[in-house]
Amino acid sequence: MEFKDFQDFAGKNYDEAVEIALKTLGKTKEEVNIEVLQESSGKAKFFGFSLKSFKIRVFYHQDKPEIKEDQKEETDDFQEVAYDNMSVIGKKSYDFLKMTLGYLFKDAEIEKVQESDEVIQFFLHSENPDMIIGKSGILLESLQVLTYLVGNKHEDKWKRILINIDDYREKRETDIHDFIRNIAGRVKKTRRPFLTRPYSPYERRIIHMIIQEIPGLESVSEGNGLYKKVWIKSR
Amino acid sequence: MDKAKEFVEGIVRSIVDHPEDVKIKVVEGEKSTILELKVNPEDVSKVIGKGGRIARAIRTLIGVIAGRSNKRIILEILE
Repeated sequence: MEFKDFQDFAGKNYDEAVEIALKTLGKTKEEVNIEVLQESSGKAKFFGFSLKSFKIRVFYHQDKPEIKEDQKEETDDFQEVAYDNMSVIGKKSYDFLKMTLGYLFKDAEIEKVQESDEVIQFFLHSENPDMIIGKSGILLESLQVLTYLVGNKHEDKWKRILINIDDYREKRETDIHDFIRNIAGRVKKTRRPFLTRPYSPYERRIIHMIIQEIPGLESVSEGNGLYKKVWIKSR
Repeated sequence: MDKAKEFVEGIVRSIVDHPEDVKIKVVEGEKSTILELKVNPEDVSKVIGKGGRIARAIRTLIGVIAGRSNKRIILEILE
């Protein structure tokens, strides 16, 4: 059997390391492959505390790749919907967005709509996408805020609204990812906190998610209003 | 500035609970136009939004129309 996943464990000795590993993974000894990375030397004592210096790498087969499953579900749940099949929130949002675009951007059209239990995504198309996006996305954000409010009016369970035009959000997300990872590396190295420029709530969410995955760092929003700056600092 | 008026009317009527009470008075100046928006007292907080974010979004979008007419358009929400 091929083992795709592995994790490292440490203990005072071989038996302890194995015991910790099996407990953590919820596996039996027969289900895993153990490789010794570092054996404890007899001198591994530090002010009377014995160091956990016996390291092993445990190869195992994950029955339920939880993260992958989640991602798959999300993409599967997102379905392109025609107007007639939209939820009430979907229809209200669609009508409002169409009306607003009609007033402001005559050449823009709603190309397709995807809906899941929690999120409705509108994909727009225009010959001049920059006109609709606005300076650093401010127009798109405003459209989103208003559509969200009108679509969810009088509803119990609110759905998030995302408005995208061509591949603007993807591009922007990639830019933010690259930038924040770069900054995170610098903060980790220098231990000096960094304050970003103001970001929208949606963009801050991306930033917090990136930082959350990096051990030793944390991110905190600062300021009032819709657009806030974000501190990236070591914990 | 009929277009701006129409636009604000359309948006605000969708937001509020009493669309029939939405009234807009247009005051034309030389370089700017003022839209005086009046809504039902129950709806004022809805139009302004938490931290003014709804009013800000409406004003941002009005900027699109203003940009085309080369005139400033100011939205005033009367209480």
